[in-house]
Amino acid sequence: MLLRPRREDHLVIGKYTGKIVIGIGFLMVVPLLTSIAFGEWDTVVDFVISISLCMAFGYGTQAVCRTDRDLGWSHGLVVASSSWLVATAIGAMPHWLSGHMGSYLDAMFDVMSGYTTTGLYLMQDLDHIAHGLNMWRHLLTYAGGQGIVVIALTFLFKGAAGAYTVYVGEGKDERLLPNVVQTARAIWLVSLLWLAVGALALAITGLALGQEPVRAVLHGLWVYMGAWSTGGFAPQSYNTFYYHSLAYELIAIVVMIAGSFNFALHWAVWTGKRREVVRNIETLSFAVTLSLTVLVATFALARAGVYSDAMVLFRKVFYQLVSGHTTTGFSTIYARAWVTQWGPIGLMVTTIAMAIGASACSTGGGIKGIRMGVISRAFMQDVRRMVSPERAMVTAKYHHLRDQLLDDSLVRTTMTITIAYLSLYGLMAVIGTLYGYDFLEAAYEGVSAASNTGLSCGVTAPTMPDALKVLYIIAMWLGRLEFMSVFALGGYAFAMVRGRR
Amino acid sequence: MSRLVPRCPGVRVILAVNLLIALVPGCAHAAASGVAPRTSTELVASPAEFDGEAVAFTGEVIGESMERGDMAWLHLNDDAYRDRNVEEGAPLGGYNSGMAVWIPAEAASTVVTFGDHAHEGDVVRISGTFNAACPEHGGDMDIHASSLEVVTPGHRVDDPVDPGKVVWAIVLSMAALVAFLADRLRARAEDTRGM
Amino acid sequence: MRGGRSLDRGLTRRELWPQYLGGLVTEVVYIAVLGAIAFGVAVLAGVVF
Repeated sequence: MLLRPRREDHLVIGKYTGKIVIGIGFLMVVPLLTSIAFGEWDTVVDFVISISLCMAFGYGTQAVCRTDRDLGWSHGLVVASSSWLVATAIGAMPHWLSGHMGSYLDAMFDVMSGYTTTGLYLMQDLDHIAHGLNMWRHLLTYAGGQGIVVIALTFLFKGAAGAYTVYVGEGKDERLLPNVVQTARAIWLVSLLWLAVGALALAITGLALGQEPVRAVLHGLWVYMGAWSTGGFAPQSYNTFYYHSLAYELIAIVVMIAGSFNFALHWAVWTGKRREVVRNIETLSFAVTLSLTVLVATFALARAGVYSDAMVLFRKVFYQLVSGHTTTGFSTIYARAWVTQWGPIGLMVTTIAMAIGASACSTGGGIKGIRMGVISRAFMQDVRRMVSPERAMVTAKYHHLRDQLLDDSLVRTTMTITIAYLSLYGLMAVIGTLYGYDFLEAAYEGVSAASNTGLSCGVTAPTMPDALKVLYIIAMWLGRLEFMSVFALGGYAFAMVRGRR
Repeated sequence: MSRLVPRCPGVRVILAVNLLIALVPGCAHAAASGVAPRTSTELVASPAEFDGEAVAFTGEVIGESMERGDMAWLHLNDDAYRDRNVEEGAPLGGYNSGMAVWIPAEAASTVVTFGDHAHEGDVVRISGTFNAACPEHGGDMDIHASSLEVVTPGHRVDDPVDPGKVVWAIVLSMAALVAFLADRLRARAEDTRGM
Repeated sequence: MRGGRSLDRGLTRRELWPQYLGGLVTEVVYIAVLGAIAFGVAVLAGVVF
C-alpha cells in the first residue's frame, strides 16, 4: 500500500530541512552579537562554532540535494518534524559548549523544550550564565512559538507551493490571508506590535521596580518572549517570582493569554471583527475552563489556609493557573511548593488546565480550546439525539471566525487527536510512576511536558533518569506538532524499508 | 587539678559543648543570637513548619538589589555555586536554589558584588523572619531581614576562551564556507546549463 | 518574496494602525474580565472560609 520513497523525495526533504537549519544559523547571530556586546568571548566562540555547524550542514544539504521538485503534502509534514529534530540536535551546541549542561542529552532537552515552548529545563547554575546564552534560550522559545517554519516561510522558501503543508505540519492550519506567505506576514505583524507594547511595558516596570537599566531591558525582552511564546523560560532561576511585583505579574498575564490566542482570532479582531473575541468557541471555552479551574483551586487553597487574604489568593491562583492553562509555565512559587503548599487538589486542577491548553494555531499546546468546544457541543448534540431523536435532526453549529458546521467528520478528527493527547498524558503519568515518582507528581509533570506547559513540581531535574529525559523530549515534540507530522515521519521511515517500489 | 575547670561534671559538659559550638564558624553567631541557620531546601520543603520563625540564612547575592522606597529585594543562593560558579571550574551540582530577602535598602547597599556571568557575588548572612506566604508580598515565600553581614566578598570571574574551541571554530567556519561555495557553484552551473 | 512588497505595504498602511491598536485593546479588555472573575472568586472564597 505504501509507496517506497524515491531518491527525489529524499532530496526534497533534505533540501528544505537544510534551509530551516540555515535559518537557525541566522537566528544564532542575535546571541552572538549579544555576547560580543557584553565581552563574553568564550560564549562568542561557542556561537561561532554553532553557527558554522548550521551553515555547513545547511549549505551542504543545498549543494547535495539538488532538485526542482516542490514540496508535496507528505513531504511538508516530514520536513516539519525532521527539521525540529535536526534543529534540536544542532541548536544544543551553544548550551553544551557553555559547560552548564550535564550531558548533550540535557542540552537537547533544553533546546527541544525551547522550540516547543515548553519551558522545562535541565540547565545548571542558570543564575550565572552569559547574556548571549540567555538570549539564545529566549530566542528559541520565541522562534519556536512563531513556528520555525513560519520564519522560514517569511525569509527562505520564496513562495514554494508546498510551503503550506509544512506550515500545517507545524500545527498551524489557519489561513489568515489567501496566500500562506501573506499569512506568515500577518502573523508577524500581530507578533511584532505585541512585542513592542509588551516588552516596553515590562522593561519600564522593571526599571520602576529597581532594576538596573540594562537588566530591565534585557529582562523585559526575555520575559516578554517567554510570555508571548507561552514558553516559560525566564532569565533567573527564580522565574518570574524574581520580580515580586503585582504589576509585572499582571503584564505577564496579559501577554500570556494574548499569546495563547489563535493567530486567526487576533487577525479577525484586529481587522474590524472585534466581537469575535466573545463569540469565538475558543475564547469562550478558555473563559469557562479557566474560571472553573480557578474556582476549584481558589476554594481548595482558601480552605487549606495557605494564603492569607483575597488579594494574595487571587495573585497566586490566577497567575499559576493562567500560566498552566495557556501552557506558558511561568510561576511565582517554588517548584516544590506545588507539593508542599498547593497539595493534591492544586496539582490535579492545574494538571487539568495544562491538559486542556491554549487555542489552536497559537504558540500554546495541550488538547486546545477548539477541540474542547467541539467535543462538548458534539456531546450535547448526541445527548439530544438520544433523548429526542425526532427533534434533533438539524446539525449543530459552532462559531469560529464564522459559523461552521459541527459535522461528524470534524468531530471524528477532533476526537482522534484528543485521544492521542490523552493517551500520551496517561503514558507519561504511568511511566513516571514506574520510575518511582509519586503518581500525581508524575502526572502533573508528564502533562506539563506533553502539553508544552513547563510548570514543574520537581520531577524534572538533572538527576532524572536518562530514559525519562528521552521520553519527555519525545512527548514535547509530539505535543507541539500535534502528532500528525511525527506520524508522517514515522510513516516515511517505515515506507523506506517496507514500501512498495 | 586546675581550678579553671569546675568540679561539677554537668557544668563541665555544658562548657565543653559551648566551646565546641563557639569553634564552628557561623554557628557561633547564630547560636549566640539564638537563631537557627536554615537552607533554602529545608525551607521550601517544609514551609508551614518554619512559617513565622526566626531564621538565619547565608547565600551568594545574585542579580541585583531592587530598591523599592527604603526597602530592597535581594536574592541569596545557597546552592553548589555559592562560592564558585561554573565558569571558574565549579563542578555541576544541580539547579540554583535560594531565598528572596526583603531588607532595608541601607543594609542592601553594603553588598558590593552581585553574582552573574562575570561575577561571583558577595556571600552574606542575614537573619530575619521566614514567611511561607508573605501577606505583604502577594503570598511570596520570603525572609524579612533587618541586617546583613558580608561573610565572603565576591569577585570578578573570568571566563577564558578555550583554545581548543577556537581551533574548532576556525575549522568549522572553513567547512561552512566550503559548503556555501559548493552550493553557489552548483547553482551557477545549473543556471548556465540553462535550466 | 520580492513580489509581496506591495502587499506588505498594504498590510502596514498607516490608516490600519488605529484598527490594529483597537484590536489589541479589545483583547486586553477580555483578559481583564477574566481577571475580574478570578478576583471575585477569591473574594468569595475569603468569605466562605
